[in-house]
Amino acid sequence: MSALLEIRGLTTSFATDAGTFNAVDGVSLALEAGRTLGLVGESGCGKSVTALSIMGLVASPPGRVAGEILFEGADLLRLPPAAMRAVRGNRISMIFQEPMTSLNPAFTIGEQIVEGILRHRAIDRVSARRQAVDMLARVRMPSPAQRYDDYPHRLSGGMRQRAMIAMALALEPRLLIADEPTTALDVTIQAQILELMRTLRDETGTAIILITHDLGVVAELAQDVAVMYAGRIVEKGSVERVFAEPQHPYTIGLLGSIPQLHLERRRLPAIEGQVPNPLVLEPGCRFAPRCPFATSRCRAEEPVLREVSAGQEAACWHAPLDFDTARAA
Amino acid sequence: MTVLLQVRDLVKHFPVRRGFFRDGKSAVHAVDGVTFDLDAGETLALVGESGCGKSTTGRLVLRLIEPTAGSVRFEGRDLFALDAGALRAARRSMQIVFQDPYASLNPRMTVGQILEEPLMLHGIANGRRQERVAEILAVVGLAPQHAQRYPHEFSGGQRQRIGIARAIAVEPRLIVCDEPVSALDVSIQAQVVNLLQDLQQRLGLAYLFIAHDLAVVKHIATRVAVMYLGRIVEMADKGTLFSQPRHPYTQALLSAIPVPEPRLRRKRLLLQGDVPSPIDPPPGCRFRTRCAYARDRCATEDPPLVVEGGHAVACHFWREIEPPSASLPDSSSMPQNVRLSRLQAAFNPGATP
Repeated sequence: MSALLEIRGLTTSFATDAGTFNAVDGVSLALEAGRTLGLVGESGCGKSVTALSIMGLVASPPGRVAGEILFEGADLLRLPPAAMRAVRGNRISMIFQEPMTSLNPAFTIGEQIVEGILRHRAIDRVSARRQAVDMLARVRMPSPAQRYDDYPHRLSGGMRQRAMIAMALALEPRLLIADEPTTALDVTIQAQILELMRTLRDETGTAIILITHDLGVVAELAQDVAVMYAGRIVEKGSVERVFAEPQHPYTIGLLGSIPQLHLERRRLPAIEGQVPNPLVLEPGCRFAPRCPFATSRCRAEEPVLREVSAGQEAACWHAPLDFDTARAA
Repeated sequence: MTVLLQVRDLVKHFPVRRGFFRDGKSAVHAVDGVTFDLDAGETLALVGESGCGKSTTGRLVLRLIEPTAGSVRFEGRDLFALDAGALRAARRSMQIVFQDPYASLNPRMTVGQILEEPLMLHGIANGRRQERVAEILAVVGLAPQHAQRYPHEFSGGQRQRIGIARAIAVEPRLIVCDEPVSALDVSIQAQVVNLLQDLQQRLGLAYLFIAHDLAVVKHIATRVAVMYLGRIVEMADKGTLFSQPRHPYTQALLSAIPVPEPRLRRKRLLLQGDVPSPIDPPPGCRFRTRCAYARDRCATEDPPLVVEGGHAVACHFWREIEPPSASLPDSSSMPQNVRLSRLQAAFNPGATP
């Protein structure tokens, strides 16, 4: 099966007063139709900038996007603006983290859904309205015909996120980018939204890039996962493989540092230190300063992403990592 | 164990005005009859979702806001009966760490000044304040020269360490931790959680730990109180609460948490709908509008928090509701990943895995 989306060497840089830095630095990944890829990492790792680069939403200047983003055969980075507008919101759409700030407070949610439909489809307002109400029903919005005329402030956080999802899926996109779709929600509401996303994905076959810092959310929804650190993908593979046999020390540390309901531990294995400043990167592996397994090679040469087991890649000189080789290192 | 804090029937209503002429009077029932004890040296976690009243309870306990009704006794003294001077003196023993390490430190003060202020206020370490500041910084894992810097020069995790340093500077007995790690990235969260645990052991602190993240709570707490719409609906020691949750809300809350273990398949208890408005909480049991087990009695009669064998539940029918085996992932069914835990132990040299 050929990939729906293929990103090659994506590098997104921003010019600041202090200098230019790469928020995303040579990211390559592929996504097949109907699959869900979890893109995980901590603040500043470049996961959201990757999403904005795909959507063509990086402001330039100060931003600059280089590389290739092949979607349904076309390189999105080389599309003229009008052609990109025909893709955005139609073939690819996006759900943002904060439904209150990403919905327009001055329009009803119905009007906001209809706006997108009318922009991309040659249908009249009455049919567009019917389609919007149908969509609100599909995201299990209670009394959708009434909610159509509500302004965003009248809805709860969970309802607003349902409205956002209705808007994003109204045109049946092939690819949905969900940037922290449940982070602003309470846990019982998060469970509702994750359940809804799973159902809709299975019904529509939409591919999803799920951006999150929450490894639990990835395990719930995604089939594949890519772990980002300081602008690079450090490990990727199937969710089962990466969660059970992580090979990059950052993934190992990250999985260890989350308190887990089903594990009893006296002390959390925290990753000491903090992420490097992207303006002053040292040579070598970007994780080396925080890595207990780092050797002199790690501090001199930067490892590239390579296959370490079937369907699993890691950017670490010592991968595949087991305890004895790690100690010897 | 000595009881450090006794909270009895605590109520806080925030008045709101409604209507065109602003004459309709009603109130947000933020906290509506909360009772608990906290022993010296223990950690009681207050958990619940947005608007359940957990943070308001934390502020009432320190008398940062005045209650509508109820009492708080700290080391036997009624906090709400103290005059301003006595209250200030009492606060030496009770401190708070806030959620947002960016907003809770004064950007115009150096870290040294931030840490000296409580010392001056309480007349501690007179004549050797600089040394005391250096000591406190070392305790939270920062360096003495950090005292000269300003908060903006630090990362989020370091700022939270400064917030913790300010709280322990006056050698309190109780710290209210209001979502102390929710604003931090996971790898930094673990550092701060470990620090809080170390400090508790070294200094014999009691924590009132306010959080929405049940996994963090399971790691740090000794007892857990689950709040819903201004009330405690269930309270028990940690082991009991997580292995045998009896209130339908606690069961749903535990079941809703995503677990980073793709091989675990759980039966979900999905709650329908949203939390009702705290302005007009539903009569009877407040959870009944979302409860799968609700019956007629729940609509008319408010269930009291009944204690049985140290396990308190506010539900008429808890005896009939089975503790669901599926609400929590069962660790015994999972083979232990020896390789992974050994590799992870390398991140914590000196600590037992």
